[in-house]
Amino acid sequence: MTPMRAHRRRRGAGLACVLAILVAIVGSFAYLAVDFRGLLSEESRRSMAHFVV
Amino acid sequence: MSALAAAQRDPLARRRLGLAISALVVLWPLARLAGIHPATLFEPGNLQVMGTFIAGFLPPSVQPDFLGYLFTATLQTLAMATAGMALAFLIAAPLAFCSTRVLSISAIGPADGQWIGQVARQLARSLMMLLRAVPEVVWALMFVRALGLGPAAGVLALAITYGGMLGKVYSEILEATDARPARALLQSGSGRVAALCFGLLPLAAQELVSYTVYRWECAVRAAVVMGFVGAGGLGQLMDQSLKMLSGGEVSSIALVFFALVTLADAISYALRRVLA
Repeated sequence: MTPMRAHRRRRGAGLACVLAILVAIVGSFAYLAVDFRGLLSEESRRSMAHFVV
Repeated sequence: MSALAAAQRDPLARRRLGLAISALVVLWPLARLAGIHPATLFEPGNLQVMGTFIAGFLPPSVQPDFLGYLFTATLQTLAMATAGMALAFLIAAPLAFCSTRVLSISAIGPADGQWIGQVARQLARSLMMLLRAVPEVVWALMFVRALGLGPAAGVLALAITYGGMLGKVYSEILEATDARPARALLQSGSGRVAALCFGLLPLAAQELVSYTVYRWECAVRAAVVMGFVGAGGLGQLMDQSLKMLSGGEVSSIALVFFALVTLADAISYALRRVLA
């Protein structure tokens, strides 16, 4: 295998890996369907403050 | 023959032996003080108790209903670790960038407003210290109160604690990297981002990737522990099984946990090879 082809293959593998990581991250958030808006509500802030104090 | 034996003898053997004995002398009282008595483990009464406890876990549960719950909890744990690490990275990257002295303009010579940079670096370091000082379980307990039972609390807890840890280690890795390329770029007028991307990252990428993947592996384990405080996933399932005294289910979960850590190790190895 020529060095150029080896470099291309390596770059392709790296890009595929980065893409797989991005898909895993987006998939994780979609699967968990996490909603952080609850953090901003008055009641949740009060309960967190109660926990800290 | 004796001359050969003398030549092959380790010249530091006495020093090493002395160090080992000193370590034993220091550690033995500490172990006693901490209440560590290894011999207790092998007493017949204790062995019997441990044997009965372990026998309660056999055979592992393979009921279809339970396996369905186990599969869902495993996915939830993996997703929690991955999402938590993604948010942790978003917290860590700017903090590490701020706190790395090699990337400061003052590192290449006297500059106006040098104290602003020092204050910003100190602030970033203090913030990272604060984030990682509180264990993730405590953060999870607090967020469970705000967001209710479920993975959202675990994701946030992981993001905050691991953000602090990643930021600190990223900064240290960048500081330990050969700074000459970054300094040359800064001296020739390039910006700090360019100095990071083209001066430091090419040299530090392997170590940064390796540490990030290792932290993801740790996050998988931490996600399990956080399930015990209501953050969902395998930990919550294990907590329920323990409360119901269902040993078979606990051993099935433990087996899945073992498989998960093995998988994380394999992925970590593959990623390090490809991304580095």
